[in-house]
Amino acid sequence: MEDLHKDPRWVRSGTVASEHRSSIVAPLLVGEDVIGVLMVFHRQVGYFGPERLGMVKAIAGQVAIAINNAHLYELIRDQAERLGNMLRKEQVEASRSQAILEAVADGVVVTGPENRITFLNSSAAAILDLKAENVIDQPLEAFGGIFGRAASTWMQTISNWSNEPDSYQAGESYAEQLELEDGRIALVHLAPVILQNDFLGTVSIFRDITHEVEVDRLKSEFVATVSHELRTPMTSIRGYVDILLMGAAGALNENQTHFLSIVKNNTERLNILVNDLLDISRIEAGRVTLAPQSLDLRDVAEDALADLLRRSQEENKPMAFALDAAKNLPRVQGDAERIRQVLGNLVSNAYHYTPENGQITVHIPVTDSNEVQVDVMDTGVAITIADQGRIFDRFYRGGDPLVLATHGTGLGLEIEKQLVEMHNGRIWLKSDGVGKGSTFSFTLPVYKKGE
Amino acid sequence: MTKILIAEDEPDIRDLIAFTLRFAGYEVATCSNGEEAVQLAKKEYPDLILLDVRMPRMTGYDACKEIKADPTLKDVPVVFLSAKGQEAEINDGMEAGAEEYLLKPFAPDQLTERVRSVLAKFGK
Repeated sequence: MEDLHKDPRWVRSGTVASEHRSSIVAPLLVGEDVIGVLMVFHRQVGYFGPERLGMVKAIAGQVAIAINNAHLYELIRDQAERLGNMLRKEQVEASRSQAILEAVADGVVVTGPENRITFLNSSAAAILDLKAENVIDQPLEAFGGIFGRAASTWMQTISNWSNEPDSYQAGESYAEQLELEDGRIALVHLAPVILQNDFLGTVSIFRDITHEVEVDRLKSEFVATVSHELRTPMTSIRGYVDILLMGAAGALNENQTHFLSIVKNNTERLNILVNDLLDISRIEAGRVTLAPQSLDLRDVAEDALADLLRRSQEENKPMAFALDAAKNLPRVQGDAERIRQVLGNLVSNAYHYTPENGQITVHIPVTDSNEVQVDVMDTGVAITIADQGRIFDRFYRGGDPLVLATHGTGLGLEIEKQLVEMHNGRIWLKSDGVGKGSTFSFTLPVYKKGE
Repeated sequence: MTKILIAEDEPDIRDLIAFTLRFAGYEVATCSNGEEAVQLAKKEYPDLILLDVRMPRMTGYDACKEIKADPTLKDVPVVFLSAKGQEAEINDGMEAGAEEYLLKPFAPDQLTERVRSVLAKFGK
């Protein structure tokens, strides 16, 4: 601009002294962006020639580059700082996770995508008796031996998940009791690490439960011993009371007979309780072994109902009994004594909890599946919906007055459930509400030759 | 008179069995362990022997084996007394040659019933 006082492009403002008359104004360009302006002034009008204009333009270009470089540098420095912070945070996070994993009492073993062990905490090293440095980066299969026989399904599950991450269902988990090579028992929980269908590996948590298992075994053993030791005095009490009641030791008056009957009934009750406790503790201790054979359920049901008919006659409690079994029933696979116990107990329950003149039916429908179902139906007190969920629980007997008036231990159904499940069967009940009776059903596998 | 030998280490139970069987009209000889049972059997030649399984000195199981090994006693029926939950012992007893077993606790009439049926089976 030759003369600032006359040039219409110059807008007067207070910042520029009025004695400035001529000026060169050059934009500071970075690419097409104007990041600033370089202004040069002089007091003379028309002072700047074309060579000065060229120089100022060149200076403006250099200044623009310098400013831009300074900006870029600042940007890079910020970025670097931010990345540095993130990295530090991540390191803090990682070392915190590591510390947590190391500090937990449970053993933690992490495997990577190729089933190689990527992490093993000190608890895992202690439980599995391994040294972390010997294990890291080794394939899991190399340590199969120490996990004992039950470990094969655990390892199989890991390799299934790694081969086919799609096969994993959300929420699916896996738990197994492993007997380790040295005889200790560990509980292992396994979960996969899957990120958006990518299988990243697995986490296995180990807990040494040797002590718990041992305590549980001692408890069962103790119950078994106590119940066994109770038999000797009970045999004496029961026997001598019976002798007195038989009149073998002299005639009794009415009161004496009545009181002795009470002693006898309560001894019987105690005997049932001791038998049930012994059964439960032996089942829990794994000391009940089944002797499976081919069984005709019709025979078992006939015997059970015959026993009950005899009892109903003895006790003067009339009741209708029916066996409704399909012809050509397949034989089932079961331990004769235990299946008798299960069915005997179910019909006996039905008898106890059905008022006189009721009806008890054992229904064995024809089947085309691999199992035979037995339904024990009664017209008795029924089981409320609230009680149905707990009826197989230990000592649970519900709240019905007729049930509570009948001697029982609340252990029978739990024993039945355990025994049926040991046979690979199922047991359940159906009851439609008060006054409509109950149906207890169980299944047993069909007998197959050579099994 | 039909003679029954009873071997049971618990005196109360031994007396109970003896009383019950005497009341049912049998002649009874008693002892308290397996060793005595074998000696007494050789002396008394009973018609039936009741053996408790768990006894000191010699178990009912070992006593039964010795009795069955004696040609003059091998045809005498042996009945074991055992508690529920000792299935393994019962199996051993049956293998040792016992005729039957009776689970404790038992009612006296149950005992006489079983004794009677075993004796009948052996024609006594």
